[in-house]
Amino acid sequence: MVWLQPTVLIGLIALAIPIAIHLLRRPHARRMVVPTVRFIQASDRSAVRLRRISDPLLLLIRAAIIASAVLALARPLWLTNTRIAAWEGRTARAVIVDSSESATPAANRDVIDVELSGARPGRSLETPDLTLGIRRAAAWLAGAPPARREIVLVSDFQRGSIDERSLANVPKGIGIRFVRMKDGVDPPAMKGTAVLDGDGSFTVLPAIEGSGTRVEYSRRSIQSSGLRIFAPSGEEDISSLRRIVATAGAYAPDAEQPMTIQFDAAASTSATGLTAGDWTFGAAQRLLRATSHWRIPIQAFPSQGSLVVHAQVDPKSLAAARVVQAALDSRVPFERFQEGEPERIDDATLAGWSREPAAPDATQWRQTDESDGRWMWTAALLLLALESYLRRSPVREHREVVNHAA
Amino acid sequence: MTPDALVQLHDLELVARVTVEGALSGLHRSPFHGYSAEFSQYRHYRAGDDLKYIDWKLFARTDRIYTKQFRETTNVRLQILLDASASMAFEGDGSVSKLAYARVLAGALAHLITKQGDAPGLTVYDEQVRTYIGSRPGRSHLRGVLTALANTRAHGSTAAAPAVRRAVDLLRSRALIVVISDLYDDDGAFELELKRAARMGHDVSVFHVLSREELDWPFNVDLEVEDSETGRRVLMSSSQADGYRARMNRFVAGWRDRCAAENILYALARTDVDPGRVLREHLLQRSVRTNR
Repeated sequence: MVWLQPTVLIGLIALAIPIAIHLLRRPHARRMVVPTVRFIQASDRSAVRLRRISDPLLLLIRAAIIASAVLALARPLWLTNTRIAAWEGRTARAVIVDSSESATPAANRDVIDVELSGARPGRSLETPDLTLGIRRAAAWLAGAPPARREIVLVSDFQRGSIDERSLANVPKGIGIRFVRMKDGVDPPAMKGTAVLDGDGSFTVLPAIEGSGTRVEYSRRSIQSSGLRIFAPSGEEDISSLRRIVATAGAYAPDAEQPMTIQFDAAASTSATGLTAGDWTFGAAQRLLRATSHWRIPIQAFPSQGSLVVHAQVDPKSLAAARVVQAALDSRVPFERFQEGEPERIDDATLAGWSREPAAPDATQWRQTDESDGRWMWTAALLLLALESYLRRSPVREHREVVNHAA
Repeated sequence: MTPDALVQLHDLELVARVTVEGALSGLHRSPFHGYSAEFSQYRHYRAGDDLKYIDWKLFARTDRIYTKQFRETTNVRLQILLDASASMAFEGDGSVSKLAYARVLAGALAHLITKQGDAPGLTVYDEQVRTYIGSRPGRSHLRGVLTALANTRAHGSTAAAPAVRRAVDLLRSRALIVVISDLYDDDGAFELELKRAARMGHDVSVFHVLSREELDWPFNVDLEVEDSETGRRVLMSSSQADGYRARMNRFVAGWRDRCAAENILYALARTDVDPGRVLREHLLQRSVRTNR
């Protein structure tokens, strides 16, 4: 037998309560020294003996009631073969559902339901990041009740979405299974992104051809119409800033995503007036995240389709150039490129990564939500009834009266 | 004076005197008078002899009238046997212990005897004789007796029979023997010794000292009672009080009857009654017997 809450056993100290009460109450009579007890007959002493036999019995029962309650609260668990066999026969399953742009969880709901219905317990985790999902699933399974443990990944398994390093963090006893989603979607159309390069710019043009990805570079002049910079010190500083940013490298400005950067007083770092779904929303969030540790007060807010950035920094400083660089880079989310990946991890690789869940190990009983405390509670209730009966027993009182009368 | 007040006085001589004066007030003569003569012989009755000295039992047996002749002795000797066992320490409701009460009675008797020129003595015993003072007259001797009484403390169990036998054996002639005790002596030998002393011609009296609590058992609660001498403990419920009182009454009545049968004067001395009154009743009882 093992205890799921062994610290509760300290409550057995409470056994001292009935013992103390018994000791304090045991001399029912006041003690008095008298010249002689010769006039108290022997028959009276039988009543005394009766009481002294009964009291320890009551004490024993009361102590047993408290002990039973404490033991029940300590959640005893008998590790019987039947119970261990039951644990081995069930599976705790975390189903990780890929919710990235390329995946179609809604179309695979029946697959997910089948996986969850056979699990005890089961849980689904929808995430666009399978590596993160695996980490969360492993953490959840670590606290799951005793059972075989398994992670099931339901995804289209784009190349790069998962690798051996992602799976290395999964504890050995946990099984891993891969279920490929039935229908993937075509990769979104890719659009080349202009990158500043010295005094000009080039355009990245990805070409998707089966299992390979080809990138073409083409040079073109800088599109300055998408970026407006205001500095109180004048145009010379602004030109200087543009040169520095172009030399350092950044995504080129785009007239479709216009941006205004103003170097003046900013009250504090904030983003206001943003609407979710608009490109300015993601851009402002990424900008503030990227600059959060620079200790520069920056405000970002949309204005007539343009992202306006106020930064409290000297336009002559390098920090100003970094703000411009971060603002330009913030418009392009990396996820866009990931979801454009057309290649899938092949079945043979996935089969190689798969493994069967191991039988529950000897330490898993600690996580169980079962307990045999109910038997202790039953014993406590029965003892309570017995104690009540003995305390009020008319037979006992009658015997005492008879003995006294004798 | 109440028993409490008397016992509070540390001067036992004064207490004895007060008690004696209270006891004697209204009595015409000392009840111990006449016991200073010892029986010597019989002689034929002659006209003019005091009828009091005719031996009627002898007349019944022989059809002849004989008069008892007495030899005058110097003193009446009084030997007080004081029980100082642990049971005598009982105070009941916390006022007067039985031993303190017994000391007052013994002191008063010693004072009374000394006052009429006779000789008091004292034997203090528990399971053995603790103090023995022979009977001698005189005030200085009385002080010795009173001092011994004042220094008496209650402890030990009771074995009265050897003490009585020894006191009687040490008496060279007839004497007054006064036993002051609660008579909690399981040994029937004590009673036999008293009878023996009485049959030897000694004038034996018993003051049965008991407290109100022992006699009436006024406790209406359960008690765990402990025997002061044996240490034995018994649980006693309030419902047993009636049985206790009945047994105690039988105990007292038994002693009274047995003493009467052996011509031993018996006096129940309750510690809540003025010892002077107890002494006075005893003296009256003695006078009645003497005049019979």
